[in-house]
Amino acid sequence: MSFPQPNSNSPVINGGKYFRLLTPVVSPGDIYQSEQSGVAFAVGPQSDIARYNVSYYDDDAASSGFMSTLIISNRAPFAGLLQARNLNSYQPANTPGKLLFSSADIIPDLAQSATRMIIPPTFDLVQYFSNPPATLPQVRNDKFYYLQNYPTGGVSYTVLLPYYGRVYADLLFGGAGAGPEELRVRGINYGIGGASNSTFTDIVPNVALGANGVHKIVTAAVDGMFDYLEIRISLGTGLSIDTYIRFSDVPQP
Amino acid sequence: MAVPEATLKDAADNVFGDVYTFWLNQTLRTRTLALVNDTIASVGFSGSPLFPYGVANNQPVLDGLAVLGAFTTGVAEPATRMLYTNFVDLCNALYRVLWMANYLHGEGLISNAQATELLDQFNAAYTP
Repeated sequence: MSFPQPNSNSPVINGGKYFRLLTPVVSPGDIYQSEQSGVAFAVGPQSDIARYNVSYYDDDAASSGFMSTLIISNRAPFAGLLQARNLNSYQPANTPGKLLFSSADIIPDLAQSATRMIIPPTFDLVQYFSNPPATLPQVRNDKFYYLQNYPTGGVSYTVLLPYYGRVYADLLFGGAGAGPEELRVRGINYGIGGASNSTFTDIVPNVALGANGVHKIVTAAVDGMFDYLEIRISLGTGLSIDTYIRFSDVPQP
Repeated sequence: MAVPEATLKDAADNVFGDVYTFWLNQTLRTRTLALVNDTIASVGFSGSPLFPYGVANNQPVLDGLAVLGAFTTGVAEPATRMLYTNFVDLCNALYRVLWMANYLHGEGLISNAQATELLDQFNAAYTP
């Protein structure tokens, strides 16, 4: 979340056809607003989040505070007019009836530590003001991570990568040569309220990297779908490896 | 896991445990609406709203409360208890508001008074 928040008024003022809300997520509670109505909504190409809540003012929703919410996903964009009713108010909060955007996926605590790095997910949502494409995008770009000479030897280091809605991952870990080295990969599905409410699934149980490294393909059909992938690498002093990672929305042959 | 929680982060992480009792005794809707209404109605020393709309740094908290309040308004809590799926969604919305406020406070974007007010309202709403 950047401050001030990205402003949907700017593209309208400048004659743009869409507003792209692109920002890093900073907390599990990130929520954004738009004062502009939209005719279509889609998950952006760089999004790490797979599903978004779009809340809007609804005259027919008096019993629920005049707020209705729909969910869009990387596979299910939404084509239809949603109006920003800036002069009306959601109840009981009495806040303006702007469009509100938030992640429908559960975001974990993003605090970093010396031996644990969590990559914050990218929030990327596109709101069209006019003339949306005939076919709204239903696939995100593949996401690549290249971790060169990582981690520094002599430690056990954990990296968490956002994997929301992905169905395929190609994980290539280079060989580390001699010395103690170990790799573990787990899939995480988050619950509300910390690690104790999350589930962890072993994908690569503790294995030695060896001279030739490890190459693992993760698929939804075999391994499941996860919010994050957790990669823990333990290396001996003086050792480091190269890691190549690719996530995709598209099953690979 | 029980109120009073010491920090917004604790409240967020323990939200399920803290409100579960009130889902069981069918008072969760009433208590949550009180949290929303009392937080928004809170005033500072000057008598002005503690969370005025139109201040950019406040908006995420107010928008989160708007979502929580609207959802809670629409949830039925009959004598036989709120649907479990609605209970989970309510906790989710509450969790998000608390986390957002925790982040904003940590970054100095909302004041100690604002953060304390929200935490106090949480503790007051969910005290048996």
